[in-house]
Amino acid sequence: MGRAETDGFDAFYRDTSRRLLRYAYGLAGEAGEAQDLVQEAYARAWQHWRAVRGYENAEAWLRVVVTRLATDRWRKLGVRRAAAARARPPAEIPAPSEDTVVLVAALRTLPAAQRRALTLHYLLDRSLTEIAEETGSTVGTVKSWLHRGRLALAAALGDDVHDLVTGGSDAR
Amino acid sequence: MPVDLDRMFASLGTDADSVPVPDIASVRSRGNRRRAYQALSVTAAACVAVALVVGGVTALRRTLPVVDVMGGAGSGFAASGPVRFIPLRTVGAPLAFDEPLWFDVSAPGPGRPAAAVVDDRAVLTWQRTDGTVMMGAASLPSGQRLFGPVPVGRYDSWSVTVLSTGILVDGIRADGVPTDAVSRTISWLDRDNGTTRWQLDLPPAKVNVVLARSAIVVASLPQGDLRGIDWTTGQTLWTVTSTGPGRAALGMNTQFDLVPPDPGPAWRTPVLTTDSVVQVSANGVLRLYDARTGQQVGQRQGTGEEVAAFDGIVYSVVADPFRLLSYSVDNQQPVRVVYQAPAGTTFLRSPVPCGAGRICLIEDRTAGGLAVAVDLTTGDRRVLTSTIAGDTLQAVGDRVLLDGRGNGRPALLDPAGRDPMPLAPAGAPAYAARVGPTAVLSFAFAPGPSVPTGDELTDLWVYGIYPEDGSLRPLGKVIVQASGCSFDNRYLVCPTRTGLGIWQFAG
Repeated sequence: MGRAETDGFDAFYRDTSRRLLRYAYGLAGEAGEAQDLVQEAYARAWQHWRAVRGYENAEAWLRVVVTRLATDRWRKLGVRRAAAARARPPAEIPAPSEDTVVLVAALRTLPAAQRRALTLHYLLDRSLTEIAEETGSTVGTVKSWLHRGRLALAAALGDDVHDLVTGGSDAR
Repeated sequence: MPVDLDRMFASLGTDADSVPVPDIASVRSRGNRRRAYQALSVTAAACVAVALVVGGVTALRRTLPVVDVMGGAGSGFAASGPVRFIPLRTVGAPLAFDEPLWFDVSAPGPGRPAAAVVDDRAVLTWQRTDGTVMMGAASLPSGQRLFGPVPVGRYDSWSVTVLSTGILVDGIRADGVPTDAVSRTISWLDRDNGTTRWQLDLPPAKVNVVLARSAIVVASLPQGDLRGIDWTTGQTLWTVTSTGPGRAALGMNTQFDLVPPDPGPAWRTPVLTTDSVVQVSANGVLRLYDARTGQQVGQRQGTGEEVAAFDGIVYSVVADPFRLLSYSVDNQQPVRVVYQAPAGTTFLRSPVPCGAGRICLIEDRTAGGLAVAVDLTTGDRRVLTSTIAGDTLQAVGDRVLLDGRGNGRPALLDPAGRDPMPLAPAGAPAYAARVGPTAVLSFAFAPGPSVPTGDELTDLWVYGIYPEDGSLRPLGKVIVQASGCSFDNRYLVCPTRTGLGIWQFAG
């Protein structure tokens, strides 16, 4: 890779990595795993940078990679996580809040599609249309995912969901 | 009190924003290393289609398998005949190795146990909490212990390739750096007792290792040097120097080569039935070498990103628009556009011959993907099914197996247009792999909304399928760590609660 390509990748990384980490955190629910997902996704982007840089929405492509990595049921975590655990001083990552811990536990009970939709909606502020485009589904399906996801979260959290009752913010 | 999801997600977002983003240099380094070591990760995935175990063994584990099961490069490896399924028969008693194999799978910890079977033995590998990789083995068909537990090294990530002649361990010590390993060692173990016969230290980020039939070929990428290593002694057989900086080295696969289902973060390399090794220079020159002698037997200018090499033909992908090209390294076949993908395609992968004059492949898209069959004469494209991440194709007779690794719904696809053949009961997440030349084994979990990771002990229903009749033959149920299972044409071996379980599924 030449200097210009490196600079271009670095700029892309600086512009998008924080959002991608937010997304990965929403899917993975764990800081170390989110970092690993993000690192792996960008490593793949760098590996194919000449193609990726030409994508209409390279950031969405990265989210797809993270989604795939996070939901690859055969992706064995053991060794990678063992290595990551040894490498990453826990002190560098602040402990999650109580809300986060509870929410992550509830999210883990959801099917991947619902979790993905909720993460895009709440953490990245994506509209129904944008989520539908990114997931290759319809707006109606996305609505269904969000609705059922909230119900499932309510059940897991043991109560009604406030923004479901009040209508939420799906109108975006 | 009602739950305020807006507040809770805001809290989650705040916590996410407090997590440091990975260092960009390490990201690029990881990418570079993938390019170097696993340049062929796409290749390997692509090769799965035609390469998975004809007459050998295949691994059930998917991405980070610890053990690759190989039928024995240079040692009597041969395609075998059709598989005849029988109900599962337990072989011996589950073999215990007197130490705990399982840990909390929800937390960082050692790698999961993994089993392998080749010829007359089954091998189990696991990792202790201090990183030590352990190994034990049992004989077939008695199930009696052969050796173990013995330590084979202390690694952060590793792969173990079990062959008829020995066991190859490729281990990385990250020493606290998860993405940039600082030491890499390949070791050759005695298959009868697990002792190390020879060991070779490699610069971790600058070599490709190709397991050819007659030699292990170590390609130094910065210099473009090649070195042939004797399988059994570790001695250097030949060297080729100063061909210029390299980008990758890959084996020229045949349909009988054994390619891991997914290379994963552990550096897994297919074992070739041939001695044809292709070196790709930094400026895209492809050189074909004979691994027996180090002699160069072909050369040409390549194009695009090489994704597979079968039977003398290299397949590569170029973008804008995405096209699959084919050409031979020996210049006997010119560059040919095999297929041009429609707009919206983000990559082409997993090309596999699927019937006369056809090639099947996966078109990745930003959202999902498609498995398609392409007529090589007319260019006509038939969509076989949708795919998601992790799905790969394998050739099974005149059909194509979508293994279900991505979505838990494996199916046999028909490039000629017949309906996809499901390979598990409705609602049961499953995955499948070819066994023998034309049969399929399917492994189904209990029905549920999601696909289990297979990392925990779980009920697993085993089915045998002959594509010609399409019926699911229930073979039996086992309780195993599914992600650590492997099989050959007769035996299924898996980590169990007590150690190593062995079942016969074919006569």
